[in-house]
Formats: sequence, C-alpha cells, structure tokens
Amino acid sequence: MIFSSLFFICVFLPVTLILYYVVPRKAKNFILLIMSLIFYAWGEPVYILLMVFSILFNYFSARSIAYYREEDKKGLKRTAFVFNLIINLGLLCFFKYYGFAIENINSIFHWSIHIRSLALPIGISFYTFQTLSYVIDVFKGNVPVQKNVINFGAYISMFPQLIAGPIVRYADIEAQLTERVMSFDKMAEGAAWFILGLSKKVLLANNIGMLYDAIFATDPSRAVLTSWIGIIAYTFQIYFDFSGYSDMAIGLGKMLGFEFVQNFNYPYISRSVTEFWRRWHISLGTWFREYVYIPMGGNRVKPLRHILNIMVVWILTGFWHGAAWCFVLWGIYYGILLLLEKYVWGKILAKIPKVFQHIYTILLFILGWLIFTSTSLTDLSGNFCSLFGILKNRFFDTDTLFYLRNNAVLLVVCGLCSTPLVTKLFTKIASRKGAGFQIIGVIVYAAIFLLSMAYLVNATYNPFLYFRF
Amino acid sequence: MKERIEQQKRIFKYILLVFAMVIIIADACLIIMHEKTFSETENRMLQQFPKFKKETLLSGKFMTQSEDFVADQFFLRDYWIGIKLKADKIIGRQTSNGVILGKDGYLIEDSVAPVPASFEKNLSAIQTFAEKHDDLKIVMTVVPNAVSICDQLLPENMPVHSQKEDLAAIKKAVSKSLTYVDLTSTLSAHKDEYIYYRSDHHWTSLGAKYAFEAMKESLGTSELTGDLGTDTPEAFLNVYNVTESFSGTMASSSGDFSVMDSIDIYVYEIEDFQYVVEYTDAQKKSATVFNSAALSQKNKYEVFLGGNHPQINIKTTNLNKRNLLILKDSYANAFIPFLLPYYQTITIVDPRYYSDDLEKLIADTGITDILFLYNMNTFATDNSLAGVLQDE
Repeated sequence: MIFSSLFFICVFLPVTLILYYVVPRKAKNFILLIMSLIFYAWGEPVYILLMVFSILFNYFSARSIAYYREEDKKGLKRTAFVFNLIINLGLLCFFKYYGFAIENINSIFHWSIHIRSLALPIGISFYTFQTLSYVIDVFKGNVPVQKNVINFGAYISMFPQLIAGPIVRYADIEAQLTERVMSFDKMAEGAAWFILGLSKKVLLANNIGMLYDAIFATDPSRAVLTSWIGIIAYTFQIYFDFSGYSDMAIGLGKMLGFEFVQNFNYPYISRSVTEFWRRWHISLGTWFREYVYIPMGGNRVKPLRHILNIMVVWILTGFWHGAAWCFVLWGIYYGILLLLEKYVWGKILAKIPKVFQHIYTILLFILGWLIFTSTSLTDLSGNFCSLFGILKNRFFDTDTLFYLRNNAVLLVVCGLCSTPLVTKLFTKIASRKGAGFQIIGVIVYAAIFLLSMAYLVNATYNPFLYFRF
Repeated sequence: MKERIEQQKRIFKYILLVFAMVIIIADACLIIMHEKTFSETENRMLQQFPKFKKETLLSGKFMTQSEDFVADQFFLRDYWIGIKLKADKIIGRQTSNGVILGKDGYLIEDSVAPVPASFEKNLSAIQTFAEKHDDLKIVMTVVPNAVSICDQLLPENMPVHSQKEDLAAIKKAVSKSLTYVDLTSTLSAHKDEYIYYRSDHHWTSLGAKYAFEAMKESLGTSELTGDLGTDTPEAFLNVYNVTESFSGTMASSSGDFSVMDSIDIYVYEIEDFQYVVEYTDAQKKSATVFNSAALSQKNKYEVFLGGNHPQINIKTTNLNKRNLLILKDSYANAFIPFLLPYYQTITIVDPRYYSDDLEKLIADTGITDILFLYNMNTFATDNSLAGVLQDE
C-alpha cells in the first residue's frame, strides 16, 4: 500500500485512527503493530512472515545480548551480536543482492547459474537499518533493551515510516514508545503535514515525472536542451517524491503521537556537496555516520585512513539504494566529491560568490541524478553524451519547444517549491493577525488537498520509486 | 510569537476539518451508493465490493480489488476527473491522461509503438497463412489513425511516434503474399473532412467510405455485382444521420466532454436486395448491420454491428457464390456496411474474442475472399491474431 492512494487515505487511515484512539492507552501499540502488519502484508502477503520473523528474532537476539552484558560475559555478548548481524544483513543481502551477485558471477565466469527472481520485500532496507540501530545500541549499552515485544514490534513495523523512511533510530524514539503526547492539535498538525507531503508527491513529483519518462524514453540523439529538461525533471521528481513521502510519514507519525526527525531540509539550496548531504535524506546520512563512519574512526584518523573511511561509507550508501553498478558508481562519485571538497577546493569554494557556489552544487547533484537513474553504464554514457552534445546533437529542436510549452509552469513551480521561499511567504501571510489571513491559509491547504484527490481519482501514473531500495 | 503559534494551530484545526470531511463524505458515499456496476462515461465495468476469500487474500487479489473498488466507486468521479483536466489545461498541458488535446476541440488518441515480439509474430503468421491459401483472394489494410493523418490538428511541435514506418514495415512484410492497400494517401487527401470522430478513437463512416472507394479495385468489386440488377450499387447508397450526441472513448479518458460527435450511417437501398445478420455468441439474428439500441447508450459507435463479437455471419441475396472472411478490429465495424451487396456471405471474425478453428471455418463456409482490416494502434499491440491464424 502506498500513502498516495485513495484506499489508504479513505479506508486504511481512518480505520487505523479510529481503532487507535478508541482503545485504552496500553493497547495502542498493539493496534499500531497489527495495522502495520496489515499494511505490510497488503502488497505481498507472504512477506508478513518475514516481518514477524524479523521482529521475534531481533527481540530475542537483543534480549540475549543485554543478558550477556548484565552477566558481563563479553565473549558470548559478542557472539550473539555477530550472529544477529549475520542474520539481519544475510536476509537483506539474500533478498536484495542475491540476483545481482549471481548475474555478475555469471558474466565474469561465463557460468549460467539460474537466478530465482525474488520480489524484493518492500522497505527491507529501511527496516533492516532501523533494527540494526537498535541492536548496535543495545550491544554498546547506549539504550536499554526493550522488554515488551509489542512495543518492539510496533517500532520495527511502524507503518508511517516502514516503506520509504525516514529511518528512525531506536534511541530517538525509545521514550515515545511508552510516553507520547497525543492531542487534537498534534493530529491537526499531522493532517497539514500529510496534505503537504501528498501534494508534493501527487501534484509535483508525478506530473514532472511524466516529463522525465517521456524524454528519457527517446534515443540519446535528442537535442541537448531536451536532455537537460529531462534530467532536471527527474531532479525535481526524486526530491518531491521522496520528501513528499517523508512529510506524509512525519504527518502520520504526528497523528499517532510520534515525532520523527526531519528527513529533508531544502537540499537544492545547498552551496556545496557537503552541505547537500547534510540536507538530503538526513536520516540515512545520520545512520551511516553513527554506525559505520564513526566506528571506523571517522575523521579523527590519518588522512589516508580518512579517505578510506569516506569511500567505504559512500560505496555502501550507493549500494544501499539498489543492487546495480550505477548505484555503486553514484556512491563513489559522491565519496570523491566530498573528499575533494574536504581536501582540495572546499576553502576556495567558500570564497567565491554565492551564485557560483549554487551553480557548482546544482550541476553536480544533477549529474549525480543522471548516474542514479541510469539502468546501465551504456545507458549512462549515452545520456551523458547527449547532455553535452557529444553525439553532435542539435542544441534544441521543436520537441524541446513542445516540452517547454507543456511544462514551463510546472518547472517554475517545482523550482520555487524547492526553496524555502514559498513556505516562508505562506507562513508570513497565514500568521498575520485577522480572520481573513487564516481563511487564506485554510483555503490554500484545502485547494491543494482537493486537487491532489482529483489527480488520484484519475491516476494513471503513480509510481513507487523505492522498490529497489 | 506565541500568538503566531496559536494562529497556526487554528489554521491546522480547520485543515483537519476539511481533510476529515472529504474522507467522511467519500466513505459515506462508498457505503451508501456502491452498486454502480458500469461507468457510462468511461465505458468500462467498475470494481464491485470485493468478496473476501482465502485464495484471493493470499494471492493479493483481494487487496488490488479493494483499492480498485475505492477508486472506481469514488463519489462524483466524473467531477474530479473534470477538475484534473482543467488543472492540466491551466498549466499549459496539451495532453491529459494520454489523450492529445488537439485543435478545434479534437481529442486524439496518441500513436503507440508496436510491441516488437507480437508485431513480428503477427506479420509472419499472416504471410504463412496467405501462402497456404494462395488460391483465395486476400486483401489487407491497416488504417492509419487520426494522429498521423490529421497532423494539422495536433498541438504545435508535438512529438509523436510516427506510424509511417510501421505501416511501411507491414506493407513490406506482407505484400509478397497478398494484396496490401495503403490508405495513407487516400485519407490524407481528405484530412480536412470529418473522417475521424472528435471525441472517439474510431474513424467515421465517411472515412470508411473513402477507404472503401480506394479498395474497390483491389477487392475486385466490379465483378461481384452478380444478380443485384445493377452495376453500380453505390448509386443506391443513402446517408442518414442517426445521432448528434456521441461522446466517445477519448472524451471519457480525458474527462473533456465539451465536444459531441454526430454519427452517419450509409445504407444501400437496392430493390430486392436483403441480408440477414447472425451473431453467433448471442444467437441472435437481425435484418440490419445497424443496432439502433446502441444510440441510447454511451458508446454509440456500437451502432455498427453492436460492437465487437467473436463471430458474425451475414447472408445476402446476392447469390454470386463469393464468400468473404474478415479478420478485424473495431475499425472494420464502420467499414462492413459498404461491402454488403458484393458477397453472398460475409463471415466476420474478431481474433481477440475468437477461439474456434479458423481453418475449419474457411473450409465449411467455402471462403473465396479474405480481408484483414485493422487500425494501426490496435495492430501494433495485438497479440491474438497470430494465435488464430496458426491454430492447427
């Protein structure tokens, strides 16, 4: 099930909220767990078994780690921890990377091992990382072990962030599992977040995504400007889609009384690649920093080791996004850029006029998305050549004019909404004194909500981009 | 600052109210009025309340049906679709839901690129079939769609998949073993006339008439007049307007109902010439190829032969011993009325719904002529023709 569907909004959400609020406080996590399992089973019923297994295994595994910690049996504690990592990462690798590994082995050795194509359990990368955050912190003694299996299950499977993040660390949410504020105000704020996220996904991402699809379905001999419009469209699509999902998740969390961390903070206004990654998919960056980068020594090591640390983290980050070489390449690309900013031109960059810092960053993340969205290296090189006219492409042609005529408004709206300007202006107007300004605020939200519903009723294009994550 | 937060809280409360109201109304309507089984405007069956069964639950079918149910039975569906169309137009879009919003209110079906595997399979099956039946007179045409003929109606600069090359590929593949008629130049010569509907993906009777005239020589109609008592049946062809309020499939998919089409039918009124139409699936007979009942429903194009049937048999009073077999899609339905006086029997097979033995049918009916008639968009994606032709 995806949030941006009429079924979720009109059936699943109200049913869940009613059940959740009629039962006594103690039973709320139970309802949350049951509804989350139903939510998870909706797309692929068998995988509910995997989810239940993950919950039970990690529950007992973490308790045994905590037990050995109390008993001060370091060896057993370590063994239990390593066993846990093997199972969790093993499952992730089996479902996500098995086919990819076999494919590569086959092509290198010219073997023909049969690949059993498994449907990737939705959200497995997200909830595996959540689980790991818990187990690692229990192992290190940073958080107390969760003794209530229902609370634990509710954390792992919590439907708002189950399929597309944010990756909520256990440490951040532990207290809320037992004590959280549920109020009408928070519910209302949650609805506003949800509507905002929904409209980002349905009105902006889906519509601009059709432009990207149309352009990149054509041969790379297309005009240079057309290619640029296409990749810019994708740049907007991935941002509004992903941050829209995160906003919807945050809104749903609030409706249930939870506070999740912010996941996107206007990444496209960054003035360096380093800043970009502080603003893009923040929960993933935090996870890798906490559980990979810092344990490896972070930056408090010799430069050579630091370079290694950075590259390992970024190759893993890339690979986390999907089992394909282009994702690895994308990770390497960012690893190198971050190192270059750290060791070579970071200081110079900070001194040049701001407008050039923006242009520099925008160009680099757009090229990043080109790598990210390519299905193969040939695909990537074809589109790359097209962007820079290497195939002797024309600069623009009649197709370009058509795409611009049909999408100029949308592109401008997307551009504006990528900056804090629109929100700032809205808050400024809506929080002025007087009922008139309030009404404007409500009307704006109502309008984008109704418009989103209209697009959902007639939805022919509503893709889920994270099935490879 | 505190006041600001208070004000924001108030706004959020009203937003929640709007949010909840829409959901409550939608759900109330779902519960009260979910019996709608068919969408007249969209011309398709709507998902009914799904039955809960163990098998459908485990296969996930129950889930998809539930989702379709909520979407299909959503209250004021047409109204929401209308909003979307307006929004698309406001931001300057010239397509909506895959429909090209052409000039003069024309709603044009976009062209589709052939699916390579089935396309080639169909072409080679046609060749094999034609070679096997080289004793029969076989004619084929694939009709280009409005998107390639009426290019003057397309939005400025719009890139569309060109059907020219696909049509050329078909011609090249089949013309060795049968007579292929290319209608592109014929239809292009009349592209400013009303040869395609504005709100539907079909051609009009006028379009079909021009096509028929272009194909007469290939079909050899001048030798087929038999005992009609006239050498020029066309002289007895009269045109009648049957409706002015046809709103077709393109209107449905786009939500744009601002233009209405009119449907004309062409009827031969030759003395003593009669025919009977037998619909094998419905086991019904009729003395006309026109089905007036369709004029009171949404899809008025079904006035021609009552829509698509697996097999239709027509017997005429022209006893010239020529028996025609037509393998076709819905474009042929508007074309068949022009063929009536020239054959003793016309057997119409729609491979998409036909499951019997075609060879046996050819032998049993003593087929002497065969006509393949498709439109390019259907032919590009068809995956049933080869199966019917190769069936042993």
